[in-house]
Amino acid sequence: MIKRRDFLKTVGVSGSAALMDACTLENSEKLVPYLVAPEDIVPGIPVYYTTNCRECPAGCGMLAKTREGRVIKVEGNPRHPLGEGKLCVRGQAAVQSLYNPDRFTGPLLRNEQGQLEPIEWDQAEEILTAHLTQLLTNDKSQEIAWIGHLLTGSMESLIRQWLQSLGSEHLLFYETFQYEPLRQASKIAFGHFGLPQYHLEKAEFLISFGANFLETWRSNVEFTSAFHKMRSSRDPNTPDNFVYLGSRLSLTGSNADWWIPLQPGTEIQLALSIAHSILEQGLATEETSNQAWIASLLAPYSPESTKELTGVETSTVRELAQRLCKTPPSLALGGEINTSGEQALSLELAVLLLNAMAGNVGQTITFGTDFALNQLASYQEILNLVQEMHRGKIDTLFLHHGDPVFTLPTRSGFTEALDNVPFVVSFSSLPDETTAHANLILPDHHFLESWGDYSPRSDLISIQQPAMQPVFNTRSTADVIINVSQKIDRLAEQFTYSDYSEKLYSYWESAVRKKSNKDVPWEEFWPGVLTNGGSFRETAPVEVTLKDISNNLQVGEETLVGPEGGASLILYSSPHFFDGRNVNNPWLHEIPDPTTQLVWDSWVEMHPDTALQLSLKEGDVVELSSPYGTLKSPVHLYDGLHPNVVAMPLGRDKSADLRYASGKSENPMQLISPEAATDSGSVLWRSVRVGITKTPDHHPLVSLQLENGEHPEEALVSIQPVESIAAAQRIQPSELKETDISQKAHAPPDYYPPHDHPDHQWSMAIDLDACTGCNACAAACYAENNVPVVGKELCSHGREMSWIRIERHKAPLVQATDIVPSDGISLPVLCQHCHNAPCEPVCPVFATYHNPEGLNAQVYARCVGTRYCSNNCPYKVRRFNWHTFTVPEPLQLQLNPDVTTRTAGIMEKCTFCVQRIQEGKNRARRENREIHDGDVTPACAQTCPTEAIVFGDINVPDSRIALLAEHPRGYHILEPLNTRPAVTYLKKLVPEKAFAED
Amino acid sequence: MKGILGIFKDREDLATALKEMPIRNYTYLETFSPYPDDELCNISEPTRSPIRWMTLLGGIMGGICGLSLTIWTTLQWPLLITGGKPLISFPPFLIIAFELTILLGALATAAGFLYWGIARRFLKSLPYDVRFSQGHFGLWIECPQSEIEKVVNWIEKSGVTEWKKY
Amino acid sequence: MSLSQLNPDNSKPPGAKTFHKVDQDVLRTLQPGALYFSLLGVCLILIAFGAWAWSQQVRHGLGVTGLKHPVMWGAYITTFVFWVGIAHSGTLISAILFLFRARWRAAISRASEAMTVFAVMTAGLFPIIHLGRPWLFYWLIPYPNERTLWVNFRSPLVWDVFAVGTYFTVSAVFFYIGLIPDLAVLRDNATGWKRRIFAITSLGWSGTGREWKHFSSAYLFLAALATPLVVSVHSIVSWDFAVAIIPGWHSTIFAPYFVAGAIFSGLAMVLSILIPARSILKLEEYITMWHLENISKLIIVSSLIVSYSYLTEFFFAWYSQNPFEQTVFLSRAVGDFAPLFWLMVMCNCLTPLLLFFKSVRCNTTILFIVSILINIGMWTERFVIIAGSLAREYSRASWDTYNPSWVEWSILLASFAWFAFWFLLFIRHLPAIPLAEVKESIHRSFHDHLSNRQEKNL
Repeated sequence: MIKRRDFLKTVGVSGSAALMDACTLENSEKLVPYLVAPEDIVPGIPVYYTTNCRECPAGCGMLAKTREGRVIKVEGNPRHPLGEGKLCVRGQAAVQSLYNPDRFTGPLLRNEQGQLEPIEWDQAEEILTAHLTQLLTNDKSQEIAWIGHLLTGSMESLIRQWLQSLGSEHLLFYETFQYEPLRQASKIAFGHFGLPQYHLEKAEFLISFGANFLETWRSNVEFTSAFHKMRSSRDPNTPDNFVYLGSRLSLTGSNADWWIPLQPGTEIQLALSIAHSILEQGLATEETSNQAWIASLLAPYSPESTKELTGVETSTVRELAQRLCKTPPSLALGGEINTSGEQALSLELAVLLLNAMAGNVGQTITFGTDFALNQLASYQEILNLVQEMHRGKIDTLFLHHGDPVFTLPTRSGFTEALDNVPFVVSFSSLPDETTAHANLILPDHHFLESWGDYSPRSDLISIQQPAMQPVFNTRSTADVIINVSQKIDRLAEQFTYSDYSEKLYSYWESAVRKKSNKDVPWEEFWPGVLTNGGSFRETAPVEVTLKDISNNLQVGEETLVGPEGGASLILYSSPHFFDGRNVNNPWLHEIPDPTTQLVWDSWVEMHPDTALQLSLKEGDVVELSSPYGTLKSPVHLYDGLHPNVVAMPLGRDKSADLRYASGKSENPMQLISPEAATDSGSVLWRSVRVGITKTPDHHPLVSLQLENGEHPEEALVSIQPVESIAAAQRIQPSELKETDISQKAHAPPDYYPPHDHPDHQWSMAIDLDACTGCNACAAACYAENNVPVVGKELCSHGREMSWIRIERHKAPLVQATDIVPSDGISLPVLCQHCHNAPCEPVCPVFATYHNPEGLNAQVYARCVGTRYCSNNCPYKVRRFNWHTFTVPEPLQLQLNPDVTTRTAGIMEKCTFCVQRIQEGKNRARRENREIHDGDVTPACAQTCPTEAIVFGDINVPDSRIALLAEHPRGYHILEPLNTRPAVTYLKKLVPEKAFAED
Repeated sequence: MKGILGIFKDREDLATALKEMPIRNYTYLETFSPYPDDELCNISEPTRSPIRWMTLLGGIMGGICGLSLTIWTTLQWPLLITGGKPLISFPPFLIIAFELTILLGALATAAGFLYWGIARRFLKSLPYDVRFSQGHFGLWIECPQSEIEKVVNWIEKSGVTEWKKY
Repeated sequence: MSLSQLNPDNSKPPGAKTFHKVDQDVLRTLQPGALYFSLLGVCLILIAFGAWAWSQQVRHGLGVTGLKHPVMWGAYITTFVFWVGIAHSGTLISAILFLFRARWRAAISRASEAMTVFAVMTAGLFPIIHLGRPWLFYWLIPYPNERTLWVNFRSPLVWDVFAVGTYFTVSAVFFYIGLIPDLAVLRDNATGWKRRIFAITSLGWSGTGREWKHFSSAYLFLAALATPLVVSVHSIVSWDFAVAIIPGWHSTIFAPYFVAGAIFSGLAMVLSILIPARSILKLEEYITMWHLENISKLIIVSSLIVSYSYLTEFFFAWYSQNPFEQTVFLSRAVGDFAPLFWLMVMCNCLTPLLLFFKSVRCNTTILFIVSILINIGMWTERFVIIAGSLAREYSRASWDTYNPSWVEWSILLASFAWFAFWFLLFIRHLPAIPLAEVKESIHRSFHDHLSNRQEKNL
């Protein structure tokens, strides 16, 4: 690895050095990669730039891979603490927001007719300058307000400085998911405002109160790899160390061993009864066990008394209590939007109390690291600004990313207030619900086009480098502000930077280098920053003690407004679309949603029993009505729901003029209460019951997996992914031949002699116990291999082109009991590169054959399209080009030049990223050495946050793959067919006995 | 060319006439019939047709071609392993060999027929009467001038419909 | 053929008069009429439409068909197998029955041979039509090229190229050689340019003993070659499926099973063609109820073999205890494809049982309906085997179903038109009854008749 990093270092530095000049050339039409071409930028050789991902506030480290001056792929930055080289599905798709065909191509001004008309940047800046000067002269500049997505570092300081000098106090950083309850709760419980830092990797037992930390909760990549560390080190005799509570079985939930389907609103009672049981069984830490207020607080919540409400057996509660305390440290994670109603704060408090009693504070929960998310304005503050706007107290509103009209509760009145603001300036670079109300649109760069920095946590600040020239005629907001300020006399002397990068340097010099590495001179410090992707340091955790929370804890029946007998509505953030900010990225639509396997569209989830009562079928359109609004949406039947609940994903569709968002399904935010929680000031995500009325319409939803894999006989021979740890241990080395792919070793009897691969034998191992089904690999594959997107209509004909699909296999869930095994299995299926590949001998023209390195090669140019190979592939991983698929400009700029695009009539499939294999071999040859383990990493394996996918040359002794191929848990799909796949699957471990049984 | 062409309405008359006639005295005999009639055929061509040898030869040729084509072409590019099968996988190759055996066998047979059945006849020009193709039977007797009288007397006695002298 | 019809006076041997009558009866059928031209027109229109549909497919890709992952083969391959099957009974009647000295075949052998040739011509189009990149179809043919890259002889599709190619060549040769003597008859009855054409095509045939000798010998050996060929061809077609690992395809009984099915469907097609033809062309005295009955009896036999094969398949599925095999056959019986499956059982197993009754065998109308049903049934059978198995493959997560699109339906229709087009041309311009063979059989049957009488007198 170290060699690769040096490689990155050199190109990173010199490449960015060149870009510093290049970046001043803001509004050049052509994509001229560099003004001064550095000597080491060779056509055909990729250049990597460290930057950081801004698809969500988590801010993972990112490497932008550029070829001939255009970004073709993004990957995680291996040197960055956040992600450690991994990205999630949204991060992988960031290139599609960069090259999005619907982005604003330049500044726009709304004319008298209310139409947006394109203008020149100079003109746009003049308009803004004139307006601000006028405000200043009329002394109304305090009526300026700024609502923007979370900013830190130099950009934040620039904006603050600017607004201050303008005399405005309205600077609101706003994200859709703001965690107010948790921030408040830690203040109340530990006197430390802000998010606590969790250390999942240290936890022996994990219980999540609806927190979907594998999807969108806070920092999902970081948590996913931590989760993997926790799972992979778990005690083999108690493999079930993750329990998920909640009314909806999310992707995170399906990765748990046990799911407790809860009636919404009873989470807190359950949490308290667990606490009660801890106390009762004397498992609590001594500082908590002898606190009088705890005893009195918990008194009413004995498992027996809460059983009535929660429906959870006392035995289960006691077991949970034991598991939390018996093997410290454990961890209980607080809620998310699907659990945050009016008692959200109380729930967080109760969960923190649990952690305190289990002795996790200071172990798996630490304070002292300050999170950027803490700066977010609460929803209450947004509402206050909305009042101001209504009262006409706001003259000018700057909207910097984010889409409040879409993501705020519709009835909050923000939209109306917006129209009440005379001058609305949006820096959004993509049309959305909010830009529809803007007077002036000054499209910002994409984060891959502009300088910046971001500090998600106080212990690290990442640099954001421009990896390429702007695709469109956009301009970085910072530069707009600087330019405008320099034209205004009162500001001119404060904004003397030639452009933003200068401000950036001064900030890093003053605020970062001086603080963290004073002794390192700038000349060494800065290149280090560029190659590492930022500056990282350790922060010492602070000691905290639990305070009396009893006064802040309001526990009661959760009141939901809405029709009697209606189902309570749960909103959840879409794992692919977060809050809808990347709704126009086609990959995210075409890759099936992890839990439902549905593509495109949006839907409302309903339990089959509920649907049966209402005589609803999959795809029937229902009308949901809450006191705040109504909307129509097609029904999706999902048995991972509490029967009294309907759930809707956020942000899968927008009505703005975007080609990949159909605009057919309406925004669920219409349904929820506009009020803010009285204590935490957060949105009341879970506040309504909805009436469900059937409509005559039917809107077919497209699922890419029509059949669930559970199937008694089939489970024996084809899909055998689960295995109790005991069984795994029972396997003797002598039996290993069954799970062995190395041909030189024990080969099963065969009519023909085996062919061996002396130089290389590329193989893959996929650990089903590690795979969370997050779809990052699928997105990476789309990006790396120019896999076309076919759209909903063709998907409904089963003509999707994805080279890797994640099959979901699960036993049907039993709702009867209080705790059910959630054994969801995500089975990533890609070309198995069989040594006896059935697809090869049937091809009449040698378009597919077995190459000397053990790859099942597909020669596109040779294929005549008999499609026999696909028929004969038992894994059904081959994809046929039913049409010639093309992408709209400028998405074609993202295409990987190392991979040919395919035309109609040609069969294609996973190649194990043969172009990367070639690159790896070339690198080894240049450095004249043998191939090492880790020299070659396919796109899917590269981005897997849990490293469930391992790839390598099985001939390299002691390489990870060589060991995994012999793993006791290893097996091959459809092994009896004797296709001898090069992909070994490692079985998932599941508990053998029931949860509360000894 | 000297000879007599007899045209018979009924096959039986020709057959009986041939029985009474000492044909071996005459150099060349040819019968005409609307359908294959072994008895009449044997009068003009007593030996078996050599076409069967053509068929055999073609078949053997085809088999050899089939095997050599498959094996030789596979060896042209020995890297092309498919489905873990060896380069020279006989079972499928035998199928090709079989088909080519049939093909060349059939073509050789046809060629044989075109040579002996059709082409050879043009070496010797014979008289013809359109009635032969429809239902009448014919007999062509080639004989030296001296014998003609004798043949005429004989043919008039047989139940010939009409006869011509050439 | 019963002598009484053509030779009323059994005491006298058949002579020129009788044979001349045969010529006249057959030559009479060669006058094109209004019906002929209108049918020809209809065929041409349908062919044109099919061609247009295919052009759409070539232009926009196979997406215009109903094919999808994982059902990569559908109506096209079904139709290919169907037409190859039709071809087979032609060879059965003209070659196999010839070797068995089944003299009754004489009258219908010509029509069957023609059917074979045209059916193969139709079938041969479909492997090309179904290609993703049809303009490269010649890559399936081994020809020397600068990359020295040849075809994969392990692929059943290459076997198909050889099998179907051989089959077409051999049947065409067989057909033409059998035609030569009759072309001579046409020549001698024709005048002007027609006469010249027939003179050339009949290669100056003059019916001498030597010609007949070599003719019979060649005909015999071609028949002897065609017999193993016909068996091999449909075996190979069946191996397209049996060689694959797909449950429902991968079965050892496929070769005999498909050959039987081919004969079965082909015989039905012979009936569906001959029954209208003989009445329109007034050839009842040549193609008699006796012929139709014999064909019906063969149909019963082949139908029973086919039904037995169906049962065997299900037995295998049960006996092997292979869950995938079982899933496939379960879905055939009760799944998406169940309606088609039961239609197929009705047409191929139950309907032919009617033929056990002589009254049915002798009623041309019912016979015709039965034959049509069998044709439908056999197309359905191949459809169920091909699409039905693919839709229920190993990877349960990829299961799907399949409906042909309008493109596939119109190309299927066009294939029937294409076949009919050639058959119409044949029936109006060439003798549908082999004259020489009929004459020969009249002659032979007279001798049998004589010997019978002598035995009686003794």
